[in-house]
Amino acid sequence: MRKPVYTEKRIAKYMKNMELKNIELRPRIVDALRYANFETVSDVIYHNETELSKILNLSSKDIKELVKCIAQEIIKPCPLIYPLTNALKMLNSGEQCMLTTGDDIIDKILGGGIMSRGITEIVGESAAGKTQLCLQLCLTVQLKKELGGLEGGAVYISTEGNIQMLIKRTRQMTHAMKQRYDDHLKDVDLLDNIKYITVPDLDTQYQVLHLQLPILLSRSKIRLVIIDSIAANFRVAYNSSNGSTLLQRSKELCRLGTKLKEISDHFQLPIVCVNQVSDLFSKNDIREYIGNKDDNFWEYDYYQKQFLAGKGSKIPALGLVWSNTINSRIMLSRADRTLVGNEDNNQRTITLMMAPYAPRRWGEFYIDFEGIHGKTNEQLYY
Amino acid sequence: MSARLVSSLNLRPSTRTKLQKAGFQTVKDLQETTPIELSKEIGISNNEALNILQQIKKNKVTSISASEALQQERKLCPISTSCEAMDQMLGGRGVPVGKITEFCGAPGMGKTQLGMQLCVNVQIPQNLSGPEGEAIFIDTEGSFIAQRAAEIARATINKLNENSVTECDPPMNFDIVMSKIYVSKVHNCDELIALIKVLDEFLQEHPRVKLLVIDSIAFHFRQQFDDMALRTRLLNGLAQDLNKFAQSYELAVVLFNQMTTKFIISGKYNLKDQAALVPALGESWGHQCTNRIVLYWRNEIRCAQLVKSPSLQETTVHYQINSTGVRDYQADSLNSKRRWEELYDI
Repeated sequence: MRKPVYTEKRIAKYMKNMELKNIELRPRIVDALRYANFETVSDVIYHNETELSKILNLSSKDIKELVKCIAQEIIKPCPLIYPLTNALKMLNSGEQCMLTTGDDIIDKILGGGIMSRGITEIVGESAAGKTQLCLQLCLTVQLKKELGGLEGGAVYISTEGNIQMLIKRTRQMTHAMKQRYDDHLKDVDLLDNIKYITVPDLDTQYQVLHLQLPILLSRSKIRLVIIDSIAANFRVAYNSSNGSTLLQRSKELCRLGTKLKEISDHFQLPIVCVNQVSDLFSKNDIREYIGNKDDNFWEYDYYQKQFLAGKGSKIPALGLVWSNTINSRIMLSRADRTLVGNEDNNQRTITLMMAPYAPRRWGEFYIDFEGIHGKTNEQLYY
Repeated sequence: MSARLVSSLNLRPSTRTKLQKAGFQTVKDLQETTPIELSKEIGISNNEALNILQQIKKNKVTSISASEALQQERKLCPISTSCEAMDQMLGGRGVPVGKITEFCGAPGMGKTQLGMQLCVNVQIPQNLSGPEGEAIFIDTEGSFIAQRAAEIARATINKLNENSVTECDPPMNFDIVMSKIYVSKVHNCDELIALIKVLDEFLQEHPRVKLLVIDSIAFHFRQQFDDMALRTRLLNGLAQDLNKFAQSYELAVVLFNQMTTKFIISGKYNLKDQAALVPALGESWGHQCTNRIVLYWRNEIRCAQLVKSPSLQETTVHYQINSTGVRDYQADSLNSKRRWEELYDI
């Protein structure tokens, strides 16, 4: 795999130029700012006007002008912020569409597919079919817009490392795709449009997501980023039984979430993160874990909800902080295979746990040579 | 107010010293002077003197009596949530205008849905006893989905059409409703603060804006800061700005907040100890909003609990979210719960 080259200069292009010396201001304001050792725009807007006039020794008129100018400078590079758009324009622009999963029944369960902006999480125990769903998305994203695709390639960032197997499986699925969409995919090299990156540890993950990915995205026509899995490296690097490292982890997670959302909006693509599950024990154990029910019913019912929908004793890893960061969550689960003699061990369910655009729905699905398919009609509950 | 020191005014240092040298200590001393007198006395230009006096005048706070305030408040039309029980809890008719109301809840509780519902409901015309305003939605999480807002808008319009007695013309037009929800998407807290600073101008241009939604206030403030004192100061500044908007433009500010895990422990952090869900952003933020409502699940029913309000009783109500938006809780969704439990034998 060829690693994308990146240089300081290129990165600087993607970072916002937020230093005060790059902003045109009146000379006396510039002098006052330099005298007060203000360097970045944050230094200015983190103070209120009265404070500023004391620190900078400027008249209130100058301060007003300065604050307004800085505020406009901050929001200028992002057309999404200001001027305010309206919901009708958003609706008609077709910017927020759905990426199909390639199966009508599953699309229906998921409220149309994967949202074309923001972070969608696919969570489930091992062998529930998370990777299969992701690989299928890598292929459907290359479809034309009218078929539910986004007309672009995909980046597959893998932490598990077994790229050869992934490629093998992708090739299998490619044949089915080619057959199904014969006319539309004639001259598209499906495999060539999927880029694989392996990140074996948290440091590499940081480097790839914060530095290399933006460059890769700006160079090639990519419309989907998949991270499989977001939890693996975090779970290794941080010990979850220690409060202070947990705090650090949650900050790091938030930062990562913000970065991913920025990438999503900037390059106009959906981000799909695969997450693992952790075990949670029986109801009584939860009660013990979170304390007396009556004191902590918010906590209790939150976990209970997760617990119920997860069908069994699994909750998504990385905790509440990560749940707050993602936009929608899809949960996959499978009948317990470890029970000997369990005949029905291929029963798999897919649940849309939360999404800003659709209610909670679930249904059964199966995986075959061609990919994943829905089995029954969706069942709805609130 | 009149006892405010001259040195605390927003003035040039040279002017400040001149004033103090001439013996002007408090704002009260300046109130009786005219610009020309002042300029002669301390040796500054007429313009500058005028500037000083204007600043004092602007700072003068007019007091109103309680009955006047009551009358003013009656004129402001609250925004319905479309859930009658929740409206009742919030004082009879919905989210109050001129105040900050905060909703806290774990992910998936329907915070964004409630925000979109309010954005539509704020546009209910006056003859149907609505505020007939416009709405601003500041999206920090990327959860504002135009299609979903359209769904809610259509459902709300249909409901109003059914209820309206006079069938002369439709009370609300879908395109107009959608075009009056102004949306902004911010990616970090610098952008949020900057946006609030320029929003003043926007509000002056759009006087019909009666609702400002921030979804969610917590998201960016929870990660960028190692310096908690700075965060508190920024949040307080933000709350001050929002309060100013709420009062001077007579609009309802609705904030959404996340929940966080708090370890109730003695000494060290240890997960074995008790943990509870609390609204994010800490204790000092709790003082900033007038009303605070916590959303949570209980026995498979969505609940909303009013936990802070200066005038209303603490109550808990049920609500539900369906394809049409936020609605009153109906018992038949209990069935789905039973079905679920039977299925998995819980």
